[in-house]
Amino acid sequence: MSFWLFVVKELKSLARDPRMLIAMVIVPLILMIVIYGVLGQAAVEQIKQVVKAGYVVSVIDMDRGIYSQTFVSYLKNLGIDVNIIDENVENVIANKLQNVTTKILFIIPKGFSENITKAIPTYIVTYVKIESLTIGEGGALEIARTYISQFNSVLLKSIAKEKDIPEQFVSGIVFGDVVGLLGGKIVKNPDMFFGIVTMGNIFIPLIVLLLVVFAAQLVATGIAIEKEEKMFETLLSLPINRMGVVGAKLFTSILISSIYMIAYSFILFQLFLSQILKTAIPTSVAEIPSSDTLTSFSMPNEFIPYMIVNVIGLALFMVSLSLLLSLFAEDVRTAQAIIGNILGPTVIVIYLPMFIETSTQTSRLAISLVPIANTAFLPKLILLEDYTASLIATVSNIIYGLIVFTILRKIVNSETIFTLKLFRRKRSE
Amino acid sequence: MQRRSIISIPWVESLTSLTSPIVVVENLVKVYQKNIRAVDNISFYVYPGEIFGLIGPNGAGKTTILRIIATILQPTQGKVIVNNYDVIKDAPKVREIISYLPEDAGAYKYLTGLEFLEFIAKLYTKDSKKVDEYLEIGVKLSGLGERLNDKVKTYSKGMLRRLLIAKTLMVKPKVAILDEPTSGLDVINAVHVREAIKKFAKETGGTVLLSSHNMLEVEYLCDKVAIIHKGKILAIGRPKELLEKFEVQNLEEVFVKLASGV
Repeated sequence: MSFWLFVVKELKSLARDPRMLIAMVIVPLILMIVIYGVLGQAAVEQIKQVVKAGYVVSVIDMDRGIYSQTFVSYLKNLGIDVNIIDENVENVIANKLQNVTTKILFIIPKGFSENITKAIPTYIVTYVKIESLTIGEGGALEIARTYISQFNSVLLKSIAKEKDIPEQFVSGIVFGDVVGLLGGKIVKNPDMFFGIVTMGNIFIPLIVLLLVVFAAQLVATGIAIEKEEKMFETLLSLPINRMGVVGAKLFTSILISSIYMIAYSFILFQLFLSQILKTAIPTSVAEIPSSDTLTSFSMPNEFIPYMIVNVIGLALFMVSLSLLLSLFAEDVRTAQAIIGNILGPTVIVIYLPMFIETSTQTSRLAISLVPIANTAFLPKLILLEDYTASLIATVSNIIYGLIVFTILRKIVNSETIFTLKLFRRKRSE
Repeated sequence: MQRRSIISIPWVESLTSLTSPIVVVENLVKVYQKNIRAVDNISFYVYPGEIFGLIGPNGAGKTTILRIIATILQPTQGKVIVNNYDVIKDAPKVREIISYLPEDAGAYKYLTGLEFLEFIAKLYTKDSKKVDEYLEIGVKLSGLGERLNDKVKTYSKGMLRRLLIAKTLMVKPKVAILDEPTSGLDVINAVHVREAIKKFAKETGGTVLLSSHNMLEVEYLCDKVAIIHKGKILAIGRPKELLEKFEVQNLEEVFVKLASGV
């Protein structure tokens, strides 16, 4: 019963405290703008690199007809350096595109020109080499598609003119079938793949960061306020379950953090990334239809339960840790300072998987044991189908959380909760 | 049961034979940081309906004793029983029958006075009728009238203390523990608080255990007092009897005599 009383009290106090407006809206907003800015700029740079890389493409012309030549000429007219490969296509694929030095490989199938001549829809197979698993790499898919779709438009105009038909009566004739190649494996749905890679690199770490920052700040402030408002000693003497009070504070902080997490991450993220794509890919090449690639994707079924358990464990771990640390503080300012000191390392740990080589099982297992980092790393683990590391990443946070929670519980139910103070030795009367 | 009054007062002995004490403190020791002996082997008994005062200067150990009885701190040695419940083993039971007001207590600033009283009342009972009853008592005890609808952050120190006295006593505890209830208050607010305590004891028959370094206040309020100095009880008994025994005018003089070893 005391649990809900405290939840209501917490929400009332939060809503009425003007300091919370600063703590919960203004500071996070500034923080998010800075983070989005830095990450966004990094993403823009990555995409620019890919766009640059996209100015060199390889082509295997199996058709050797008039329209395949037109396609190559069209690319060259765009200022693209076209590298014609004369090898047998089967060999090229069998060699995992090792002889292909560019990121994009167009394969023009036999019968391509004949189909176009007969006004039968045809296609160009596009391979995009996936190497770095960065967000920018996903842009290569769009670039490849753009070249094909623009060629299609040019071709349609030409056909319409030739046949003297209004353009709007001519539908698509050249389609692009884009596949990814990661190591020796074909990625049949590269959009989904890069959706998950994007999530792993930016989206998940941001969500986790938001959750951790808000929850840690709120819960630490919540405990410190009890001390600052001089209610702490009274609370300890009341006929209530002390863990109920702690639970109410945990619940409230996670509840509010979740709302903030959803609001900030979904709204700002979507707005921001659509801006990245618009600014990064030159409009002279083509119009980018939408940013759907990055925002609307589907995940493998096993991803969701793993992620939910991992995030629950992480929230439990971080919030319990923050609560534990805040017990050392005597006022809100000290609590904020303590929590501030753990947030720096948190940001580093969250983006750790972006910079660490994860090709070996040992390194994957090591990262899966690091709390916070394992949350950001989990999508990649699922993609790489390393289910042992995924399971460890999922379960380890829960274990860490339970360990800290058990310590917290022991302290809360003893006099230590009252006597625990930071660097202060004062004789009680 | 062994009783160790430093100075034996006949009245105490006669009372103990009639009823059982509601608070038993025996050979209590509290040591901080391994070598600071805040409470040094003290024993006393508080009987139902009594207003019992712990008096002594700052740092005497009064607050530590009250915190142990209120289940916030744990004794290093000795036994503390409240209404037959041990403060360590049965701490949750003890918390159900006590109501504690720390010396440096506050209230939630962003709740109104009335919301705060209601919040506390609901922690003591699930019964809505009882909540209303407690609130009615709390409103009367505080004497804050319409100001109860204002946020606590707008209250003066005196108003806050009155609100806190009300929250402590409105739940009709068997034992009310008040640490320096009038400390730092002006005369009018101090008088209000003293009257509220007297009224509570008289109307509910509840026991009050309070501490103060204002010995004149204690003389007026308490049925029985224990004079504490450096963690030890120097004397215990009814104020009048202590005055007679030491042939002095007030408890301050009793304390000076005892502390100086005269």
